[in-house]
Amino acid sequence: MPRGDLLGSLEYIVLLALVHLGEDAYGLSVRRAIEARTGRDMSIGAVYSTLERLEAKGYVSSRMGDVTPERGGRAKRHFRIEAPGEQALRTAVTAIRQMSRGLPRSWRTT
Amino acid sequence: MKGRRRQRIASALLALAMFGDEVMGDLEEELAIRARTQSTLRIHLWYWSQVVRSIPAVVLQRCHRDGWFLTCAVAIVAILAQGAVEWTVRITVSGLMATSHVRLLLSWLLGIGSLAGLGYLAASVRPSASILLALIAFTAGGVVGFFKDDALSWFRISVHVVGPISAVVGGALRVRHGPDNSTER
Repeated sequence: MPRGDLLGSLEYIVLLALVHLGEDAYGLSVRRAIEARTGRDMSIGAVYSTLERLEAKGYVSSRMGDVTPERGGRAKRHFRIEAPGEQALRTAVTAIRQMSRGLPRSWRTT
Repeated sequence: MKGRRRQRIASALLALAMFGDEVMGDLEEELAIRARTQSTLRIHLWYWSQVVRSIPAVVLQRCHRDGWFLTCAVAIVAILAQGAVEWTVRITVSGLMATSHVRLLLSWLLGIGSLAGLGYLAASVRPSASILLALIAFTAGGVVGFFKDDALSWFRISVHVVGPISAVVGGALRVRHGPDNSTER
């Protein structure tokens, strides 16, 4: 696996959140999904910084949504995972699965 | 704190964020949801903890986007310029026929003013350079203070605290009011 394909832990978690959320993925929903699934209370700035980094790598793309009054007249930015992002995520998931295989019983979580 | 004022302060603190408007919109949306079930104090604590905790990620990402090498170079040039300004001011002020308190006050004002001005100039080259300038000024102030034998004075403490803040404020003014043509999105 080339070094460039490796994802940072935040990138990995955020990409997984994008897969879970599908069309409904934007900064706040990503933050909520991560908190609900991992209990990790990420700052909204950290979520967007990670999404910005992933977009610069071509792993995700974004489009602007509609302006809503509850957001103080600001639009949502929706994110979706792109083919290179999917490839990087699959590579990371496979690597983690393979590395996890054969771990001693004390490391098994389920 | 009134909504508009709160948003203005938060958006100034997160001025370096690429998706600043989206961050602010998300914070407002979550605030409105939490306001239905939580106390005002609790939702404001949540809001400001989000803003403050977002700053390091936003600044680091901005430095990365601006290019670390050039950002550091701009900050180092700015701190060297600050040293030259401070040295010139001290030489000039010490020759003036004024009391030591007036000399100290003049040095303080010119030192803080020059840091704010250099923060503004640094931010016009690389927006995140003013933050690095503030960090270098803070660290340099601490190191110099550590190796000096004299007791802590109000002058040293105030320069140590207000100096870096003024550099950040100078940079924030540039980012908020000037066109950002230093980097490409």
